[in-house]
Parts: sequence; structure tokens; C-alpha cells
Amino acid sequence: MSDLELAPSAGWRLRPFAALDLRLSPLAAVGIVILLAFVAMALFAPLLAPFDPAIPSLRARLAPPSWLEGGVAQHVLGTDHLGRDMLSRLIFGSRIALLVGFLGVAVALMIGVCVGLVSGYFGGKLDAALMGAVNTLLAIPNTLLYLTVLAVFGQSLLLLILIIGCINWTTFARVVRGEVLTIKRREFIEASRTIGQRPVVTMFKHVLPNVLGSIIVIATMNVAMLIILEASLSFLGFGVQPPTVTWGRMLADGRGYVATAWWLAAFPGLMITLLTLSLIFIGDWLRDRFDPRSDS
Amino acid sequence: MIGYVVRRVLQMIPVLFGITLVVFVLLRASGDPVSLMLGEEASEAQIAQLREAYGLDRPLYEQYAVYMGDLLTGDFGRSIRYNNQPALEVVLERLPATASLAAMALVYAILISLPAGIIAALYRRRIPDQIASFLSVLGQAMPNFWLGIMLILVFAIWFGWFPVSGREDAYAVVLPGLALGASLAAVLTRLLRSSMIEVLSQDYIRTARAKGIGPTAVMLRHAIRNALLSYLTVIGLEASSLMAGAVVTEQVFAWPGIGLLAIQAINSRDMAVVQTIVILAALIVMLVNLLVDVLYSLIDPRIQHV
Amino acid sequence: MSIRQMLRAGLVAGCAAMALAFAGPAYAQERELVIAQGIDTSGFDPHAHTTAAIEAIHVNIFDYLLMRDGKGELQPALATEWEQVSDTAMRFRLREGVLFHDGTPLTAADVKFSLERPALDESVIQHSFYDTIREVEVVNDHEVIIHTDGPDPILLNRVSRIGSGIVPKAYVDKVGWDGFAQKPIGTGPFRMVEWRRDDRIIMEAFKEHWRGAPAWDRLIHRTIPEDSTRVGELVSGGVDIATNIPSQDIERVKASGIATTAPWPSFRVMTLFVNTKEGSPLADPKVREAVDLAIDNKALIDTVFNGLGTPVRAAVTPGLSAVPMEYHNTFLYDPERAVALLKEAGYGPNELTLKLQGPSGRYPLDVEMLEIISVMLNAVGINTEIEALEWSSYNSRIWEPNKIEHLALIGHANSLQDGYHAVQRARCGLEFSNKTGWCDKRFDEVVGQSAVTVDPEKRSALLAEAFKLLTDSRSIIFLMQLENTIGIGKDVDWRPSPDEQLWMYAAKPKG
Repeated sequence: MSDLELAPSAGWRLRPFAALDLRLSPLAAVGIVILLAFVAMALFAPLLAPFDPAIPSLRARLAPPSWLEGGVAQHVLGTDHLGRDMLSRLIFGSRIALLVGFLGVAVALMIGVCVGLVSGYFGGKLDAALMGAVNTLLAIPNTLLYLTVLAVFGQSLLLLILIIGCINWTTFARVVRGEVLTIKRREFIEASRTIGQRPVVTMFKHVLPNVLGSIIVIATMNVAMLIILEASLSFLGFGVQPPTVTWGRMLADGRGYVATAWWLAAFPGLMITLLTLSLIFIGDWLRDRFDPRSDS
Repeated sequence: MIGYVVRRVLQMIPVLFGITLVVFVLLRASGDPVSLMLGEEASEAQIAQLREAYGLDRPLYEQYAVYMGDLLTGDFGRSIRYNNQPALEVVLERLPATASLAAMALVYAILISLPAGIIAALYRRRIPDQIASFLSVLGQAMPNFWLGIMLILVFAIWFGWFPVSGREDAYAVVLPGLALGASLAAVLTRLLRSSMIEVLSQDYIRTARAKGIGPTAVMLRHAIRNALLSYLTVIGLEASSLMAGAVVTEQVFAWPGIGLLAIQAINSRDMAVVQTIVILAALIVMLVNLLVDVLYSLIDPRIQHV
Repeated sequence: MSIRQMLRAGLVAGCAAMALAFAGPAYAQERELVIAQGIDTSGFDPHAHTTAAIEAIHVNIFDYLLMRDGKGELQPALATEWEQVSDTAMRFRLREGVLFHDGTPLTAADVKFSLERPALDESVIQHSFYDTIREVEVVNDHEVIIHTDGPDPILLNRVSRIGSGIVPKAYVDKVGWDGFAQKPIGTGPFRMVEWRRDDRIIMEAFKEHWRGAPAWDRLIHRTIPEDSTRVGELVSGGVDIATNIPSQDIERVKASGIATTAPWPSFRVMTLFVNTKEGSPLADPKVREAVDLAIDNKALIDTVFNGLGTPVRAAVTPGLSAVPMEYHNTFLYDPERAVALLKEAGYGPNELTLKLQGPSGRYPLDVEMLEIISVMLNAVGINTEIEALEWSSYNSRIWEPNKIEHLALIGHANSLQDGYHAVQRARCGLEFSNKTGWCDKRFDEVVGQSAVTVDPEKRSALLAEAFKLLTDSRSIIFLMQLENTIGIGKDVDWRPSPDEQLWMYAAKPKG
């Protein structure tokens, strides 16, 4: 297809990574603090959680948060429909949110960068074939693709991450390829060839710093998107299955209780929003840093 | 230009071919429509009989060849789930429902994002910008099934302003449209804001400002027009995500469109219907992208297609 | 007209239009009944589905020869009298003056046509439920004799269930079954007018129906897959009857003042299929017994279903014929004994790990059941590993032999409403046995005899022994009978029957 279909951020001319001014903006600071808090939560979940997230309690089914009427003191954020401690489940859920988000994007990044480099550098038939694959993937409605692929390969966490990675690499591939095409024509590539460096190495050295900015920005946005995607897949019954605790599944399971026990869905929803918020703050800040014109 | 369009259309054929193959293999590898249709009460002998009757006992490549042969003659196959009704008919009759939903979502997205994005860019880092940013983050962070359920609870059940579900009366599209359009509105707002900021910081705008042209006039004349280019591109790219979102939204609102059909067709491994939907959706996405590219070159005469 | 006047006029007109639109259409003369279910029909070919929820729609369009009443007893419908003429033949006298929706009268030829299709055509989905029927003989216009291959003690159950609806031969000959599936004709109290897939089925009263015209002018079945949306429609008055109300919403529905709820028991019994094949730790009967004793069925029902449901030790539910009801509303729970049994079998605490497989979204709260069972097994020292899959993937898995690793959650309904159907597939080489690996000569013998024993008492005794053998084998661990809840609008006078059908001829408007 045409070279016009670039990802939104792909058109920007970005500042090389090394030349960055990495001072934090207040919003970015907030974002980083939230993100670090979630990372700490995920790492130390067994120490932080007051209860085993899988153990139900018949007597404490659907207990509201402790500050509300009917709340139980030891269940600060209440319990779910099986009487499991909400706080503990939220803490353990942070693990999956971060794993799915970050690892999913990492897989996508690896595939996307490789395909983009190869496609852009070698061009010709290989390029046409790879871009054909990109267009095919982009043309199938994503949800349908996820559902059928998950149906084939099962719904374990690892598979979900791999599948997410294998479907989401197209944006990265396009960005990298676009950058390669621009740089290929420049003199220093030719120059490096004449002094005997292998062209692929050169590409890596020169292309990557240039695309790093847009890649990081897209990646942060993608992490947020993937966390929400996991929730939507759970809603359709294709999410990560128990006993793994995920915010997405908590939110999806809690949807039937919106009118009767709001905390089931409200807290995981809040977590997802907070994490997304922090990632978007960080992403915005990174983009400002990378984009030479944005701070005028 | 015409040559370019023809070439693009021709390029769609191998893509469509690839899609049918991918979907065929995935669906056939993942489950058996016959045992799904028969449920737990069926006997194994009966399953075997029906598999034979539907030709499902033949090797995969043979089934695919038969399917493709029919497809080339315009026969999209028959729906197993819907008592052998023609798949194309089953899918096409749903098109108006999904089209009206998507159109409504698009209207919302544009109506919200145009003013919000422009205002946010003009008042960058001030209160209006921060409000718009916060709302757009919220719009992106809220899964649309969740938004849909909240909209139903508040506006349909508590206030009783709109029907809870279905598409019987004219107002029925209001809530599902919003649920589907919200995240697109958020994406577009953020995009418009940043591309406006980019354009506003460009030299010719600064020059215009220096020449004493008022900011509003500058905005209208240059900035918006230039920013709209990427805005349009993204609307085109998001056409497929609207389709994807429709799967969830239609399920929540019992909206009898293609999304609802798709999820049920996948769940019953109704091959002919899933294939028809995917082919149709891919065609629409590719045509929208083509349309965007053509529009793009009309807006910006610097881009030439040969 | 000044601009200001124009604006004002426009505003007034706009408001008026809005007010009219929101007031809704104001017809009161037509009595309309709207039902919301989670799934749509697959079409109207009566032999092309096996789903109770679909039959619940069809039952208003087609009549059976016999029909169950509100208590589950068989009553005359299109057949007025029936008698056994020999071991393998039964004579049915047909009701006279019955009209199809197109005005043609019902004759014996239609009955022959309707019943012989599922009986003789192997490619029809309902075939396995009718394969005992050899021929339907037309005696005269209003009399048929059904010939079976051998004695068939449950022939009456067959002609009063899914797939036995009587259709007009002449019409089907004209439009074909694919055409019929779109525009069906029956003798029932409602005739199908329009079907918008996944949206609604619109039926109108058939005034010439043989029982007399129904109390409603229009009957509408809506498809609303999402539970919370369906409840929302019910409590906001959008629908009159809504099926499968989640337990947490029962209070909310009652508090709405618009609708109330009623228990809607189902024939579905939830079970754990056990892999007893060699190599599985559950090949040891002691381990199977330990698993059975570790599960507190009542606590499971209370925790997951808020108390709705009944513990069982076999696939027995009220309304089934020839089942030993002593297995209903009872269960075994003895965690200490379970620990002891595990020890005897050679497993100390946390030395045994079992895989719990199940579907996600097929049965109400299926994944939650797995989670609670897992906790209960953990409590007696069995480690568990849960594998939940969305239904279509899981379904293909349970049909393949050897795909059940240890324990698999499966729910079975009983559309023949008879004990034989509940156990017969556990015979060697049949579906249950292939999954569990359990095979018992004596069991096969008694089940085989019960199939050809017409005397009800002897038959019940044979089946009782079969039930005992199956339950004691613990190759299937029975958990509970599901109980759904149905929401009914305050303006509708209707009580759900025990057979999961939505027979709306019995519903009357209140006031």
C-alpha cells in the first residue's frame, strides 16, 4: 500500500536519544511514582497482600469496603462475590497487568523492529512480502483475530502475551521501516560501507537511535492499550483464566454487580485507569523530550 | 490517480486471499461446529454422521479448496448455526445495524475531539488542556463494555431517557454509539492536540503571528487544515478498531449487528459466516484506507500519486 | 417574523417533538408479551437443534402429540388417546378439527411426515433421540400407529419433546426444510410473523388455535446476551419476562416494583468427570472417594450460587421418570475421612496434584465453581491446577477421548426426561465411558434390560441398580442440580413449568 499510511507519530522528526534533556515534568513525576508503586506492588505482592487472593469466605460474601455500613474491618476494600479479599486480589492483579502490558509490548517490539529493519533495508520482494503481511494483519479486525487465535492456542498467560506480541508488531515495523528508508539514502551509510563496516550493523547503529523516540512513545501507549484489551477479552470469555488474578477479569466479572455491589468493578477499574494514566503521562513527557519542536 | 487507485484495489486481492487462509486454518484447528451444535447430549456416532454430512471429515486442504472454489463463483457458503441459510445473506442483513452504530460513534468522536483537541492545543498546559487531557485518558482507560454498562445503568435505567437495549426506536443508537465512540474520541483529541501544537510551532505560523494576524485567523487558515491531515489518517486507521469495538458494544446493548454475529459465529465455529464477516470487514478497512489516502492527496496537493 | 420569533417557534416545536418522542407510542389495545432470553433460535426447523432455550421459543409455534402440563405430567395435545397395541407398536388417535397456521387441517400424513424425518434421516440433529422408531403407519386420517424396533418404554417421552413438533407436509414439500426454517408453520397458539436474527422473533396470536385463541395478540422473543442488560430491561419495564436472572440481581428485581422473580429449576446437573484410566491417580477408587468427600456440595452452592441449587449424588431431578430420588438433595462430605483415604492410597498432604478442567461461560458461574472446588480439594491436601477454557475450545476437548486429564466440569441436561437417558451413555464404549474409562459389565446388563422393559416397576428397579453402580463407581462425581431464576413482570400472570419451557399460552394479562 502507499507510504502515506504511517502511524500518527511516525511522521515526526525526532531528536536522537543521546541529545535528550531528561528533566522531569511534574506530571511525568506523578506518572513515574504511580508506575513504580505498581511495580513494587507486583514484586512484593505476597508480602503486601493481607489474604490469599484465592481463598473464599462464605460468611464474608460481597462485604462492602470497611468504611461503609456492613463492612468488615479486615477486608479494607471489601470482598468479591466468592468472599475473597478485594485488596489482596488487586495487589496480585498488578502482576498480570504489568506482565501482559510490558512483555506483550516487548514481544511486539522485537518482531516489529526486526521486520522493519529487514524490510526497509533489503527492499524489493522481501519488503513487498513483509508489508503484505502487515497489511493483512491490519485488515483483519483485531478482536476477531484475537478470539480465533486464543481459541486455537488456549488461554494461558504466556500464550496471551505471545499472541498479543505477534499481532501488535505492525505499528513498530512501519515506523522502523519508514525511518530506514529515509536514512538509507544518506551519505554516512554509504560512507560506512566504504570503510568496510557491515551495512546491517550500520543500520542498527544509526537507525535505532533515530526511531527510539517514537518507539518508546508508541510502546507506552501500547502497554496501556493492552491492559484494557485484556479486560475486553475477559468480558468476551477469552481472557486469562483463574486462578490467575487479573484486573481485567475482575472488572469483567464485576460488571454484573454494578447496581448491587459497585466495589467489585470500581476498584479494578480504578487500578486500570491509574496505570493507564501514569503510562500516558510518561509517554507524553517522553514525546516532549524527543520532539525537538514541542517545547517552543 | 486512477491508475493508482486501480493498483491499490488489485493489491487487495492477495491480502484477502491470505486472510481467508489464516481464518480457515484457525477456525478449523480450534473446534468442531458439529459437536458445538449438538451440545453435551449428543452421541459420538451422531457427531461422526453429521461431520460426514457437512464434509468436515475430509482433509483440511480439500475443504479449503472446495470453499475457495465456491467463493470464486460468488458462493460464500452456508451457515451451520443458522439452519443452512446463505452466509452472505446472514451477514449482509446485519450491515445496516453496525453501519449506523459506527456512524454514530464517528459522529460523537468528531464532535467531541474537534473542539476538545483545538481548545486543548490553544490553551496548552492550562486548565482547559488539563481537563481535556484527563477526560481523554479516562476515555482510553475505560474498556467500552464497562462504559456501556454504566451508560445503561445511568441513562436508561435510572433516568429512563433511552431504551436499555435493541434498536427498535430512533433513540436506541444514542447510548451504544457513545460507548463505542468514546475511546476513538479520546484518541482523536490527543492526536489533534499534539498535531495542532506541532503545526502552531512551525515557522510559517510564527511568521503569520509576527505579521500581526490574529491567533484565531491563523488557527483557522493554517493550523487546523494542516493538522487535519493526520487526523484524517487516524480516522481511517481506526475504522478497523471501530469494527473491533463493535463486537463488545453490540454484545452489551444486544445490538443485532455484525459484531454480535461475529462473536457467536466464532463461538459456534460457523466457518462460512466468520469468513464472510472477515472478508467484508477487511474490504471495508482497506477501502476506507484507500479513501483516506485519496482525500489526503486532494487536501494536500503536494502529495502526488502516480 | 423576526429572528427571535423564529427561534422561539423553533424551540417550541422542537420541545413538543421531543416530548412526543419520549412519551412513546400510545397504543394500549394490543396486548403484547415480550420475553428476553440470552440466545436466539437457530431457525425453525424443529429437528435441527438440541437446545432447551430454543425449544422454549418453538413450543409456542408447534404442538406435540402429547404435552407436559405445569406439573410435568403428560397430557393429550394433538393426540387425544393412545394405547399399546403390541410390544413394539402404539396407536395414537389424533384430535379432529386442528388447523395449521395456513388454514389447512392436520392429518395423519403430517404426523407420519413429521416423526419419520428425525427417525429415519440420519443427518438430522435430533436423529439419535428418535432412532427407535421404525415406521409411522397411517391408519386413517386421524389415527397413526408408531412401530418401534423393539419395546420402547419411553416412546411417550419422545413424542412430547424437542423434535416431535408436528409440521404440515404439503407446506414443507413446497418450500423445503431450508425455507421452512425461515418461515415455519405449525398448529400452535402463535404463528411466526417475522424473525430478525439476534434481535427479535415476532409472533401473532393464531385465533383458530384448537385450544382457543391465546390471551395475547403478539408474542415477542428478544435476544439479549448480556445478563445485566437483560435485567436492566426487566426492571425498566422493557420486557415482561426475562430468563436467567443472576442471583445477585434477585433482590434488585423484586425491589423494582415492576417485576418479581420465580425459581426456574433446570434439568441440568453439574458433574465432575473423572479420568479413571490406568496411569491416572484417580484410577484408585480411594482417591476418587476422597475427592467426592472433600467437596462440600452445599457450601459450593451457597458460595457460588447464593444458595440456589440442590446438591445431588446422581443425575436425578424432579420431573424425570424412573429415577431414584433418594440421590436428590443429599451429598457426602467428610474431609477427615478424605485425608485418611488419601493416606491409605499413599498420598500425604500436598503430594497429589490434580488438574481441574472446565469451560468458561458455558454454565452459570462455571469458573467460580472450579475455583471453589479447587479450594475445597486444597483443604484436604490435594494440590490443584485449574484449566478453564472458553466453551468452544473446551467442547472439542471433552469429546476427544483421553483429553480429560483428571477432573473435568461438565453439565448434562435430560431432554428425554427419563432415568434411562441419564445413565445409558455410561455403558462401555459410549460417551461417558470413553471419557472416564469406567466400564462395568453388570451396569451394561441392567441398563440394556431397562431399555426393553415396558413394565414401569421392573424398569425402575433395573434403573435404580444402574444409578447405584454409577454413583458408587465415582467415575462421575455429581455435584448439584442448577436452579435458574426467571423474572416475571407484575402485569403477567404466569408460573414457570418444571421443564424449562416458555409456554406462553398459559400466561394471562393481569387486570
